[in-house]
Amino acid sequence: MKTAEWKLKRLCRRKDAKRVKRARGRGGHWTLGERLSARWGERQNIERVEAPEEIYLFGKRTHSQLARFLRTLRDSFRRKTCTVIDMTRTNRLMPGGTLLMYSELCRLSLIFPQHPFRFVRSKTDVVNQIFEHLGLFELAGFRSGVVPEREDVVSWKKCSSIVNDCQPAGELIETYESLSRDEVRQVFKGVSEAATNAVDHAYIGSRDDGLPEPLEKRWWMFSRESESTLFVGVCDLGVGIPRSLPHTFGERVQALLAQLSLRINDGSMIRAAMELKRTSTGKSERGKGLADMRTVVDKIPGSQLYIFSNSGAIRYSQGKFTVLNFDNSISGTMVGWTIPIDEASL
Amino acid sequence: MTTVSTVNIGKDFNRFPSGRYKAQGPASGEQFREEFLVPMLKREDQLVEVQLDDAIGYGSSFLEEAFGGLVRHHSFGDLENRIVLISDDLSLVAEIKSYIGEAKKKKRKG
Repeated sequence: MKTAEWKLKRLCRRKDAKRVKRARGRGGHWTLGERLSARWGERQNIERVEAPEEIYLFGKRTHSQLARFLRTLRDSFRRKTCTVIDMTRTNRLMPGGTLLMYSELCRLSLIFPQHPFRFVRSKTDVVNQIFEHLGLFELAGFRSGVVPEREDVVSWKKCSSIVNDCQPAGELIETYESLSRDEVRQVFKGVSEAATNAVDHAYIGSRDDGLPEPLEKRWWMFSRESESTLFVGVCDLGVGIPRSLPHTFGERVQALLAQLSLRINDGSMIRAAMELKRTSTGKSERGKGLADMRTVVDKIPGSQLYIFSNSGAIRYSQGKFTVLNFDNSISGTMVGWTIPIDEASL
Repeated sequence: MTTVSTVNIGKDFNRFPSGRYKAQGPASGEQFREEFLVPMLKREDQLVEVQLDDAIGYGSSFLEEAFGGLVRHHSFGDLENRIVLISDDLSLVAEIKSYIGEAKKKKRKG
């Protein structure tokens, strides 16, 4: 039988009489901090970063919580600590927010390859399965012991690139039998342009997040098929559309905002970007990419487009735009489409 | 005598064309234009038939650079008649023709 004493000896890599004594005083129960210290040793300062309940971009509250969580994560990586990402409370992962979180963790791992970080698993099994399936636990060198087996977990798919190589993305889109030939064509068109924007415009300057800039201009893509919808999203962690827009379109941005009766904020800048087609250098052939993203929705009935960039967002559906602004910046861009699945095609 | 040469983008070039410039990726509009369209169009007695349907799809950046770029970077005459676009998707054909037309208009304005 595994007694408390046995557990204490197993966890301690170094003898620490004080810690053992405290734990014995509480009948062998360890606090989280003591378990982590025992596992990784007192030589590292441990910083616990608590993940929000919902990894979700929509909604003022959830958007702010996610943005603040990611900022805290970046700050933690910058300090010489061991970062513990506490997922205990997390019970819901939505694809757009999870794509952003995944991208951020990949980027942090790239900038700080030696920085130790760990996860405390969620109490919700599906969350752990998704993290395992996406390779997030593996990224932390964490053996979770979780086996992704649920259908709503293994349906999550991902790919990533540092150039405009859309073959992995295209092959991924083609796996969805629920999409018609024309729908595949449209979705690829949108994804291709989102990738082009990421490579061409997103990394024109510093992200201003206080971290060293990685050398690569990476973009990430998620897709997930549920019973009724297909989600496809592309994320970059560049300067964001509101900051890159003046570089691309010059003096016309403010004029268009005035024409659309929009105030100057991040959401309006994204809205304006959907309309502009000229660049400050007069290259009228540039700048059609965002219109391509809209075309996906125009050509596939019932679909929706979401673009989150820095503190703003737009939703486009049935020919109408909704402009949103939030309190915190996600420091990057997430373009996503939700496409209804025709049950007859399954 | 006019001859016809054919290029199938999806089979001869890349099934996943994307992006404008060679520096951006392995299947860009610039690369397709310079590797396929330009050599074919340099033969003045040649029509160029472009099969579009075997690629998975096309972003506007790829199409505009491939076809609009022919106007900007070269001086081929009568492009609209020398390039024959083959696709079941008529909107795709119209889109490409619009890029050629816009590029010509801009070139005339100087």
